[in-house]
Amino acid sequence: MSGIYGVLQTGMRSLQAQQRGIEVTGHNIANVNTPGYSRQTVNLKTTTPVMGSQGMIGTGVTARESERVYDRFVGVQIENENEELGRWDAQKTALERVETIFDESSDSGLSKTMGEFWNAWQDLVNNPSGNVERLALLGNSETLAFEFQNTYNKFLPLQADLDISIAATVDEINLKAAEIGDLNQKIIEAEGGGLHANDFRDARDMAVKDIGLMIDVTTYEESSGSLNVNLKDGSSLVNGSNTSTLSTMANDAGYRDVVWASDPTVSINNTISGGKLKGWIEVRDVIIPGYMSNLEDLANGIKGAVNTAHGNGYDLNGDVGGAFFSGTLAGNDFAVHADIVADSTKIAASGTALGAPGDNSNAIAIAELQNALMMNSDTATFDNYYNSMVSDVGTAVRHAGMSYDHHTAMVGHLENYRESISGVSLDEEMVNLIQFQLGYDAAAKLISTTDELLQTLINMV
Amino acid sequence: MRVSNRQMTNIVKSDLFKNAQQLLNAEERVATRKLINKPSDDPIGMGKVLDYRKTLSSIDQYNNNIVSAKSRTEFTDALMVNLHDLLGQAEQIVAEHSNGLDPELRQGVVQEVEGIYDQVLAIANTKFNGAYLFAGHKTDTQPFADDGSYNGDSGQINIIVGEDAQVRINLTGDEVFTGVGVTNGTNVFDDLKALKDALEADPFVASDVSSLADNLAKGVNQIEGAAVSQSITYRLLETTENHLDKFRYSIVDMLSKIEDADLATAIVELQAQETAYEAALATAAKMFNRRSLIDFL
Repeated sequence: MSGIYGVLQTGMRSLQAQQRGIEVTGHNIANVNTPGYSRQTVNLKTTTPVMGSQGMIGTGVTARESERVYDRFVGVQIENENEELGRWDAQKTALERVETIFDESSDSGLSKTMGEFWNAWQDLVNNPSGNVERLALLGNSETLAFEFQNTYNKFLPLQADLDISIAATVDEINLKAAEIGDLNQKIIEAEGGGLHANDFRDARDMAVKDIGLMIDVTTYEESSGSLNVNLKDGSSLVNGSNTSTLSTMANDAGYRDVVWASDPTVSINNTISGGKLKGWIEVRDVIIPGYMSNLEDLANGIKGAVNTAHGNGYDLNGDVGGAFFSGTLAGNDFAVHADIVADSTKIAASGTALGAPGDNSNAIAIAELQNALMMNSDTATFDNYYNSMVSDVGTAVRHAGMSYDHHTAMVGHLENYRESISGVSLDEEMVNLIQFQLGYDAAAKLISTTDELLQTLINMV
Repeated sequence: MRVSNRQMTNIVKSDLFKNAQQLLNAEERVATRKLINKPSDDPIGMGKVLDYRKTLSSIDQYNNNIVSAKSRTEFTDALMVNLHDLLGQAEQIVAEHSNGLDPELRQGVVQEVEGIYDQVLAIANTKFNGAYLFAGHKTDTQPFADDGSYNGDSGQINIIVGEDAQVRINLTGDEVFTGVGVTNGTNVFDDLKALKDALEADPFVASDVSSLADNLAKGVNQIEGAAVSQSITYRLLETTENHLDKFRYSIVDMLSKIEDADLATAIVELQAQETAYEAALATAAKMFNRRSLIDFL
């Protein structure tokens, strides 16, 4: 429509448009601290001009759909980095707990206990018939066995803890997946009519980032607006509004493996290579059992060597030495043999049957075992073996820590970059606020001026 | 480039965390006076630290072994000195009475020899720390019977003075008293018995007495040989002890270099970290006190 009524229409449309602008600005200001929020801009476009006697006449402004300012690529990058961050975060904290089991920083620990064990044999060398020395050796031996068993057993509650974390995380993944499915539904419905479901998309992006922290996924957006989320092996987690549920099953070691609820006997642990799940599974199923097995090897090495040497000697009664250590760490019964505990005269210090009590040559042989290369295919002493185990733990923690720091920095950079594109700047919003307010005032002035014109027109007649 | 409000808060937060973490690490080093508080602080260093600690523990044990062996050796040496004197007395008796023995003095001289015999026997059956010194391995049974027969064996007793290094520290009854297995050895008890018999004999045969001079001289040599071997052992133990002391010094030094934090350096670093942290806090505060456009509208 042209003419004065046309101007009135233009004014009204402008009021609506500027008001829309203020609404959008208000939404941005309100969400300045909302995590994952992408600022929205109002899309102002001129309305279709009309043909008038003097040519094309503009008809004002309209506020189209508001859009969110968003870089899709950064979102994907952040989600990928999150997978690594989640994995190294989980691995680092779990390994730091493993490190405390090998506490050698103070003057106690397995290293010292082993040293005192070997020293007690040397004290026996100095006085092979001495009752005091025998009892002291027995005491030190029992302490050694106890320390070994104790250290070994400390890994078990750690594994159980990681097990619980894994189960809890699987539940959380299911919750997030359901959330994504839900949002997919809403987005499909909203955008079916050609609209932009900005806030839903923000929420969905957040949910995907959170899932990335827990398990590694790939995403694909369909033309309908639905985001499909798959695990790395291609199996579908979220497809449209349908979600597949993850669950856990008990594995041979008594701990929980991740499975699809639809196929609860097949473990999918091997397909998981990122996120916290990967970190925890790695520590629980590979790293900790590795250390436990090394500790067992060391204990068995000492037991084997001492038992063999002990069997070559004779005790205070002239009898051949029996087994000195018995049991295994895995069986939770590693200890000094009960016969020796009951009777310290059964400690075989003598090298000959008639040599007691002055013959100390077997005690010498056993004491010298600490210098013998008996571990690692005869290339390392018991102490070397243990020391490198402790070193290894330190290196593993360091490595995890450095990876964690690296990925934290990466995610930080990417988040900041995302913020610079999508984040709300209050200064900017203030300027917009003023801008739309002026526009609104001007539109109002336009209407009141047009109203005066009409009045004049009417009063003319 | 746009800067959003959350960017500023994110950067401030991560800066504060970083500074706080470094401050904590510096504080730990000052508190424990150690550079390595857990294996991950310095994995290779940790391995070395454990190595050095084990070496120190071994050295201390070797020193203990040596100390107890030294006291035994010293004791045995003193006994050898006594033995030497006793046999010297017997030699003198032989020398004095090689040509004849006054019947009135006979009783006294015989008693003297009996006394020497008893004292030698007592020395032969000496115990040290509850174990018989000259019994070989049979340290819980008296090695010499009253008649001088030897019940011990020829076992050697060693102690450990270093890695795969042992030193023999005992003397067997054979080596000192019965002469079995000793070149030019003699049985001291038999010799003393023979002397007593010769002095008691009626009629007195002077040549029986004088012929014993040779054997007694062999006996003295035998004992001297035993004493010398104990001295050599003692000196060996002492030399090893000195070496171990010096070695210990250098190990303690190396351990300290890797493990200990120099207190002065650690405190200076702590101060630096505290300053850095305070600067980060002040910057953060400034950022949020900054005025924004809202103040001006």
